[in-house]
Amino acid sequence: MKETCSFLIIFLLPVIYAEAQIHSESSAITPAGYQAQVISEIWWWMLGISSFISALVLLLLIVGLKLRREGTPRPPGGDLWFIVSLGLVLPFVILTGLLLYMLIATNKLIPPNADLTINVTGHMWWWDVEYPAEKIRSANELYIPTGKDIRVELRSRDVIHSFWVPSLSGKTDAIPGLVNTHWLRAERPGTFWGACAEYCGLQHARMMFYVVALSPENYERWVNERKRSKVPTAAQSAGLNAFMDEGCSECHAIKGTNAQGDVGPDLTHIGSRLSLGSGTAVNNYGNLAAWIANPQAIKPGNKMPRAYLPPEQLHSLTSFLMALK
Amino acid sequence: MVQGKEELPDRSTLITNGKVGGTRLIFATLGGAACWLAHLLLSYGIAEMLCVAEILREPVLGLSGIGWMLVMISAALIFTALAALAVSLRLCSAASYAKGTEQGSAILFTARFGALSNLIFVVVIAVESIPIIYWLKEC
Amino acid sequence: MNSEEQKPESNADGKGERRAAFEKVWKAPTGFEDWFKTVNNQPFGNRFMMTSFVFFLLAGVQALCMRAQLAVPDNDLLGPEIYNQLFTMHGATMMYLVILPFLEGLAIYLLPLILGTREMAFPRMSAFSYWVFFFGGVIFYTGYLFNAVPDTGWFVYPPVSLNEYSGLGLDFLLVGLGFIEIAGVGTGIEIATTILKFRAPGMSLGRMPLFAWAWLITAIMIIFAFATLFGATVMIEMDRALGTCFFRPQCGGTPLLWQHLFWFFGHPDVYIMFIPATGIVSMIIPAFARRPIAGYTLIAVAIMATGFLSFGLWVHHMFTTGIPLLSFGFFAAASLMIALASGTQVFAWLATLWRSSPDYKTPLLYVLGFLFLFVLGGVTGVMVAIVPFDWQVHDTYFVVAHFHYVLIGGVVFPILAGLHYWLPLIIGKMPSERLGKWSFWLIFIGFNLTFFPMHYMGLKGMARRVYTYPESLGLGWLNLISSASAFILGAGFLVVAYNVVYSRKRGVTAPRNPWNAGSLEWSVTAEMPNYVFLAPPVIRGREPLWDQSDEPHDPYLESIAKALKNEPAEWRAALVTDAVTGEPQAIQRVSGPSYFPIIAALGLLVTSVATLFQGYLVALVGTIFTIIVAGLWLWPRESELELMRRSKLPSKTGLPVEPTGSAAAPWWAMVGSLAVIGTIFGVLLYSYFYLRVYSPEWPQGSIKPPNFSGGAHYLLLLTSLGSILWARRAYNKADAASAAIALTVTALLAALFIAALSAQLADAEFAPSRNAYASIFHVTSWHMAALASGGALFLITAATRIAKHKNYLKGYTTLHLQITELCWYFTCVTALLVYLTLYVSPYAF
Repeated sequence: MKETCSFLIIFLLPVIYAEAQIHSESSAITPAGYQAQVISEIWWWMLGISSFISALVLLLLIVGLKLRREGTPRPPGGDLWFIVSLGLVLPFVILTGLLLYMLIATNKLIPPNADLTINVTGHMWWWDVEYPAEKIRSANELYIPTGKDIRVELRSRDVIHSFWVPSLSGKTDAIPGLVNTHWLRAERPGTFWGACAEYCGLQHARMMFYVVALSPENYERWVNERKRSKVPTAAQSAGLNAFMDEGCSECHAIKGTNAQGDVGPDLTHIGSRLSLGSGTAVNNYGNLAAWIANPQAIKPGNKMPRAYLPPEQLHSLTSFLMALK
Repeated sequence: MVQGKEELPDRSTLITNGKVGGTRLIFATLGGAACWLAHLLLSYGIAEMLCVAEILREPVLGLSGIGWMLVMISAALIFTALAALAVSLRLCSAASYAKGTEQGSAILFTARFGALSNLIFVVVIAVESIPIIYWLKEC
Repeated sequence: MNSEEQKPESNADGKGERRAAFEKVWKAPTGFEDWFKTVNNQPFGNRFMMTSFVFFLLAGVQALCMRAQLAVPDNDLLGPEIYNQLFTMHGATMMYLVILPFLEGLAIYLLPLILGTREMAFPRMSAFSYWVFFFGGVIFYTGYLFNAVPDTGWFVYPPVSLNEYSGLGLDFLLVGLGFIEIAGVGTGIEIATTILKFRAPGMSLGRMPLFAWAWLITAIMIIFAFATLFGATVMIEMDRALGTCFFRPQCGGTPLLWQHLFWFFGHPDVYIMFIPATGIVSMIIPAFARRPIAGYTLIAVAIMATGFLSFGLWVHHMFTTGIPLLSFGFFAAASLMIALASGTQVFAWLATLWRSSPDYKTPLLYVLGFLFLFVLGGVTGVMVAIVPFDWQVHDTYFVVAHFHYVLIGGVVFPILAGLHYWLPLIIGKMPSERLGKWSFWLIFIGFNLTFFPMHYMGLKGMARRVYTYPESLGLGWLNLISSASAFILGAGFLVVAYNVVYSRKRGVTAPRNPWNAGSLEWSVTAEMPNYVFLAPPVIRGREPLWDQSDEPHDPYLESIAKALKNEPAEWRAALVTDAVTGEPQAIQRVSGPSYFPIIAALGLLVTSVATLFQGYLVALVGTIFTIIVAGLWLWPRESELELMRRSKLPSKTGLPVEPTGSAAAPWWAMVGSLAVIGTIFGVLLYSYFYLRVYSPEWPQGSIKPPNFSGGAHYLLLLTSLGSILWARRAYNKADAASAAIALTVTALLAALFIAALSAQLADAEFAPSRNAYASIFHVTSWHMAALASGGALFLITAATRIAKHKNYLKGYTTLHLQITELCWYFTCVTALLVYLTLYVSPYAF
């Protein structure tokens, strides 16, 4: 019975996982972050001006074509005035105005100081997240306090990736060999969807992540919870052993154990993580078991090999990991 | 024999008698554009190479060495582009006297073309200099 | 094309014989020879257009597959591998094999007609460019046979495009791309030379049709842009095949260098496509408006301004890379300002159409569609020029929407307009109006429904180049609409194709000048002979076919035109005119049918395929073979020279048949080639300083910088300036022997330089793959050696020629010397710059 259940879990859950979703926001035009708000304002102005210009051209086209020909056709004011005033002077005024607006707005987007620094490193196809001051390590999700200027230092281990959370701010590339600084400031709590926005190979489309903005009090609570050291219980030791025996520690790290692998995501807090496979699937028992058994079925081409575990071991391993909150 | 060739004045006079030299015509037509290209490439070169390399950063009279270089280049190139504009305008009036001839009308067109082009590029260099001035403190 | 119309006149004054001889010399080859030996602009214009259409169908199918996969979220119709290959091939095919080749084909076909001349300046180059383009396209797609298809995106960003992360497929693309680049610069040089020098008498710059203006600017842009891409492509292929470090962060390179080089090409590239499209529009609108174009000078200035400005925008593709804001500022400003140039043109067209009550035939419909769609694409372009906004929409479907609006709306619509407009001239039949209108509406509606929703998709978080997207984005319905509409768009294009085929078989025979246009190409019909004009038409205004009765007559020009009627009759030639004024300057031989172009292209093919499969010995043999063929191609035939020298035309017209200096087409070919080579060296020297600025130490990896004496061979090379000046002095004094000796000495100095350079490189402590410094040092030196070799070849051949023709030190002998001098002075200046960069700059700062 157990075998059949596990069998079903492994092979059917990849189908079922698609149904469950994490509720998150993703929109550059209904922003939740300070930078996104500034940019969104620029957007609405530009949309207005663009609509005006497009409508003007369409109008002139329609009117010009509808009017009947009389003698030698000439536009109002004559060729030169028509072209110069509408084609040179009008655009010049608009574009220079836009340029000045851009200069002022861009300055607003770079805060003078950081209240919090997070190091994010892009890998093919997941995000390593580290809080250097708080010594918290995670993957594929950032927790931030609202109303504070967060500096994200972006690096890459392999190819160019790009860090983008549309509801909060624009994007910045993570380029191997360089460190780029990206600023975030959430103005209200919420869960915000992010994605890699620079083509980085096979599973670029599945390199998503979440930014969870919490009120400062909730954020503190989150930090303290993460910092509390967790010693595996006896019940969990079976799972830990399975973890070590199966070779998971070659790639993954769990704080407080001998697993210090640096190739794949840190699993210290995997139990509380929102998603698996960098936003590909919702994180729950079933999906995690399916992932461990056959990650290639959920995210083909990713770097994690299959684990050929008997169902009991799979169960204890999965339970162990789900308990690491 | 070619009909009437001997009777016509030397058709190359306008070009070679010093009034409209090859270099002057080229400056009048392409001067503004060349200044703009130089302005952009030099500004880029300085901003990229020197700003990133972090040399010439010590402030001298309120601006860093790089800052002064950028300001001077912008000024010098706007000035040169204005000079090209002036030359092309002069050429316009000179050529309009010879408007009737084949060569004259061709040169007149080229001069007008140059004047318009130089005007546009003077404006573009000026507009481009705005963000340079605005963000000068960055380097 | 058969000769028709005017029968040879009576034999009384021998004119009939001359005419027959003329027809014979211009006769087009038939059968097998027509396939491979012809060089005339008409067949090659057609071949470019037809081949590019085939690639268009392939790229279109790829797009439809992509849209099918994206129709619903989390779709598994096509997996990530296939999808990533599809978007790469779709982009690469459209950008390299479709749009520009089609436009080039149209240009090659039309330019002699529009300019009033008989042929393009370098007919064998037209042929060569086509074959090279064709082979390049074939190589692009050969990867499919080996299951090696590139999947890095068409801009091939490292590190994803380095061999650590991508396979053989990309090498097929890069090698094929090398071909496309060669075809591109070849066509660019040819078109620029033709427009500058090969015009009808009286066609001054101010009377030149805007199609020619557009192509003049475009051709010059192609030279600089494609040369840059060539340099960059070679560098990235070396990183992949030889392990050099230009773009590899682990050994001192940087991926950003590629982005700079690529976009320095890439941004002008889109204007290279857009400007010819505006040229097409500027020809069609006056015909339909039945008035001359409004703001001719303004449009010409706008085109020139666009050409220049487009080279100063490239960093706007890199706004998210973390470069300091100071750099972004002026690129954003320039990106905004270029809209002024486009805006001027749009309103000039509107002014021309104002109150014109045109006849709404298919070409005009496409032009109207273009006007509207291009403005939409243009305004989103202005939006993405704003740096912080670009931070949100860069690499999202918003940008995909933008560029499809400007590329399909702004380029493909004019192409379709031009196709329907000039079809009567090309196939002699009118396109079907019914099919034309069907195609227009299918395409217009299909296009907008496919691409307009993408603006919103991008703002909602859908990134580019994703094989699928999550349900949670809520974009399922929009994507479905977009995908379904893509098939409507595709259907529209099929109707266009059907229209061409149908009209060819069953269309109404086209009358002469069916659109009542004013430009010169309509003075002939599809039955035109391959020399187009029996005598050069004298131009007195901007619209030669409209009433010019109040324009003054010019007896001199008319007599030149008369003298050139079916002349020269023993060899093919066209009139060369002054670039600015349209005054006749010379009679320039143009080549007739030849096998050299295809043989040279095959040589190049063998070399490249061998390189692709790392058969370097075969590649070397192929290179030598190609160089020999090129030499034979360029070397003039003595028999033909004899004919030319016996001609009576110089005494009749006062124009030389062996022009020299800037009145000679080969001189311009050399100038164009030097522009290409100079740009490649610019790429290398820029890369040197760029890599240096981003390295903590220089040279990297404890390599010792070469000392000044290490560059002694460069200084030796510079002394050759003395010997070439001596050669010129001797030549001017008609001392052939000394001139030949001096040139040989120069060549010897070049050989010594190459030997010393090779020895230094072979002996170097560092291999090119050691780090980025090593890579750039070696590769720049190799290029210098190659340039010196090329120069040496010119020196030797010039020396040989002067020695052989010691009694005829004028005409082509002088031209050969002039070309050699251009090449050699350029080589010396380059050598100086390379010396200063490699050997002096590490010490200077």
